[in-house]
Amino acid sequence: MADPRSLGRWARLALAFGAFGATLAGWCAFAVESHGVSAAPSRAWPGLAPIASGDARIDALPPMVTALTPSPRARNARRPIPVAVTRSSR
Amino acid sequence: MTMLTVEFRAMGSRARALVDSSSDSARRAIAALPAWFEAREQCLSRFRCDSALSRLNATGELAFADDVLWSVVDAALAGAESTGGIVTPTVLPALEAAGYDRSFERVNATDMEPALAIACPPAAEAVRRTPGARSIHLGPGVRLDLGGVAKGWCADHAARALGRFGASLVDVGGDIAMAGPLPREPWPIAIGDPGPIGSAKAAEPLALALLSAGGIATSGRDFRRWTRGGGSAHHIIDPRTGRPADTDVLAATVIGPSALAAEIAAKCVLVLGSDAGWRWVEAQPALATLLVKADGTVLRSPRMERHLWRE
Repeated sequence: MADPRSLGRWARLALAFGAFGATLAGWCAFAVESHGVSAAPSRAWPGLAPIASGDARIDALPPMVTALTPSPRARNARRPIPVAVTRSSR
Repeated sequence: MTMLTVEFRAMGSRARALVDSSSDSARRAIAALPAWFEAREQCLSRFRCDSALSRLNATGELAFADDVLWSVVDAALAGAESTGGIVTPTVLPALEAAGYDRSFERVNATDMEPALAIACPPAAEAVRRTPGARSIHLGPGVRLDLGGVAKGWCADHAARALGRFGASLVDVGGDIAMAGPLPREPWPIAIGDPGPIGSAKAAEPLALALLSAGGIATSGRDFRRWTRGGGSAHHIIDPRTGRPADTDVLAATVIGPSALAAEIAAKCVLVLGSDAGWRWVEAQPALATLLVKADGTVLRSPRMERHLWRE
């Protein structure tokens, strides 16, 4: 026969897990609000670093546009996932 | 750390905005974007009979034009000047004669009437403005289409507004603007493959551009096209002929200092064709281009190469 004190401890644990789950669900719901605004994963594209401003390769670049290239230490970095696609209007 | 994103339809296209911030003020700003675009569309759309642009086109005159219409007309006239008249807002009668006389989803895809060539007068002569009264006057028979220019202009302004909260990107149907502080990592932007005309299959992107600021846009005759008088027609008018551009370029992508500049340049390259378009864009150090010719050949300018991801 189960110890009533042990049952109480399990009940308290279940309650704590339930509260944690509800909080998590609440945060998730908060992240998807009206207008479809949602939280997207942070951009942390692996293996990319800006060309230093002194790099000769950017001398002829247009103003306001900065070129970036894989840094030498990240030659094996995987291809970044695009956040947008440019094509004729869809 | 998270960033915020919102997707919606605006100006007859898919739109998306991103801002690298998770603050409440950024959340409110990005959530307000669909309504912001709706207000601009209500002013600039040629498909809404009560828009400010439609009122101007109907009467040939508009006094006390609001800031948005005034600014976009100004941008369109500047674009006409910078392209030697190749990209001009005065193409609307020719565009309608070609069959694009209603929103694209409702265009009659198989009209058997042949398209007529309609003259497109030089914008500098056809559009007169009086800054003091903010009035715009159109010459006889002149009507304006601000479509692509309006998209680029709105993308730039929306990106700047979001840029107060963090690095931002706004994409309106492929016209993409970036603003705000330089992002921690560049924005990866795919350059879509137009593929063979008529192909419904989504192809792998042609390339991946890595950009931190400015704009990128693509002009193409691969999607907004239809049949007219037994031949094909599309939405890019060559003002020299008054008909859809007869060009060997299927799609032109340009990177520039803004989405507006990129949009105007991409359309100019497409209308001029690969030889003249290439020379025109290469003469401008602020622009980089990637062209897809109708035969499938892909041309990348040396400046474009510097922006592209390399495996």
